[in-house]
Amino acid sequence: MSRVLVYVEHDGEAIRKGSRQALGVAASIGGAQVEALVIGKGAAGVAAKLGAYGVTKVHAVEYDGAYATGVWTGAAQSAAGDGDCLILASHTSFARDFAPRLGARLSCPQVSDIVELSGDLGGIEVKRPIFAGKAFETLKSEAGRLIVTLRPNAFAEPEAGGGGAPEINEIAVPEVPAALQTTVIEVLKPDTEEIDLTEADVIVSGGIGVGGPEGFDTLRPLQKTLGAALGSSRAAVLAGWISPDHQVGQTGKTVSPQLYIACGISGAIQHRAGMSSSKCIVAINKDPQAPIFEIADYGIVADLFKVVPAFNEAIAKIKAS
Amino acid sequence: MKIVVTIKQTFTTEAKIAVDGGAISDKGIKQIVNPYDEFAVEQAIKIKESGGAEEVVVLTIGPERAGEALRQCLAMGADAAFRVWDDSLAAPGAWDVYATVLAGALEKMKPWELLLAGWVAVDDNAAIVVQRAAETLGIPQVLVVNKLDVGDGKVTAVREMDGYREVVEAPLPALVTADKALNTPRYPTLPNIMKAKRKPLTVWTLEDIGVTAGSAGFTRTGLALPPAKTGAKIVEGEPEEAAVALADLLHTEAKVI
Repeated sequence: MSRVLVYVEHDGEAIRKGSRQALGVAASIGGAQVEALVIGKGAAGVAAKLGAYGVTKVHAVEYDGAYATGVWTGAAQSAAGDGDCLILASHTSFARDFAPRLGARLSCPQVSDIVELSGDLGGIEVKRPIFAGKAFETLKSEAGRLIVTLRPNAFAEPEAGGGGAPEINEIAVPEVPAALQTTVIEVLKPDTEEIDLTEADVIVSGGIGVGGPEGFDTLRPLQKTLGAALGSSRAAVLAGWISPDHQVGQTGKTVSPQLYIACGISGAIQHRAGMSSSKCIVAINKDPQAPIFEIADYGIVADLFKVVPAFNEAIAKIKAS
Repeated sequence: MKIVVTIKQTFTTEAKIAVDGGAISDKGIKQIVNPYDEFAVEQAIKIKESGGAEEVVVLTIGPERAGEALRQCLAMGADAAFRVWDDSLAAPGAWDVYATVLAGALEKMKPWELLLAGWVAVDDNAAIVVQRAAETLGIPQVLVVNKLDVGDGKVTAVREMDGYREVVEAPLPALVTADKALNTPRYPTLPNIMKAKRKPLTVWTLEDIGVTAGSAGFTRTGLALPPAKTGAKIVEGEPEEAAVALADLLHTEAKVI
């Protein structure tokens, strides 16, 4: 029976979506003993909820500070222990930061940002996008200890329910040597609370076709109706119409929402690489030759300024019914 | 202060990917310095130009062809370049081995105070190797950085987190990985391209850096292109009518609304 340790990220109360998906992957491995690692303020409260995901033991670190590489790496090392273990985490900014260092400490291999997983420790197979989704590689590992980070939204969310109270193993906040200490001196929150692109279910995205910074205002009502995140093409970012945080593509964010609505985006290979794994792609573009139509599931060849408001109204009606 | 920048040669982001004989074909594809690594190189040169460093050295793990990418960095303004290679490193999935090799080379290149790299390589999308080496070397890291100050024995950097930013300090020596808003990389001028040809480029074997590669944690068992799409179902009609029909299709057929 293999031991699976899931790093569970949270905001003090709720478990992050990507972590819930990672818990689902852990539970799908036949006969696995699922454990979790929870770090931060409110860790004990979050730990208590994890029985519903099939977790039998939680390693909890009550910690009041901001994210710190040394603390997270040390805590994960303690939780992993010495024996065979499959360590799973959603590929978030925290996991991206500590997982490679954990790999060095545990002298075990790591693979990142995977979209499929099968098998069990000793014979695990994963699939991951390379060249930003222009190709997929399958990799196999026979290691008994392994770190795997999972692309947000690539795995289904499990149904939570039942399960007993997990055993709690409290871990003291690890000591970090002075030479390795990173200190957060300021947290800069964005002016408006935008939905994170990588975890969004729906993305409304604009390109050169929106015509200028104010063109994105046409997309905002639709974004709001759908509870979507706002994306953009590289061209719109380079034109200075929208901040780089919104860029989807090979040098921007890679996304896989349920629904991606590309408005006035031609679909350069650079952009397609970042969004082609979306479940359903809608393209609205004046140019019938735009390459975006090659990968879209649905398309409208027309002026987005005429389509989008009517589309928004129709969606609102459906949502209300 | 000496700055080391680790770089990787990658395909241009415009490259069309083809599979040939179970491997990604590089036939006819232009190779460049990984775009994020280019931001790291530019930043290192800027620090040197502003008097914050005496020397900028670039390091890569790669076959002979990767020498072109190093020359590009030398033409941008780096002072010296190092390339490590062994044919056993050609297999994919060997991030653990690459980290061991990188740590070995960086150990040999000591003393240096700042290690810069791009936050991810646009080809394998792993973002593992240099952080893993940093752990082995016992230095702290600040990743995905869009603003960087170096001085007083520390780095102060603005890093990108999921949905927010943080200002972070770390003592030197440290690793900082670059994101795209850090700077705008310069184009090398012709005189600098000529000058770069005379700058030192050293090639090391694994023996030179005292590293035994060991076996990789992963082996590639398959490679595939994404399934071809058949093209969009075009919703016809006046824009406003088509919009309503599309909303309906997404609700009843695609079931995504």
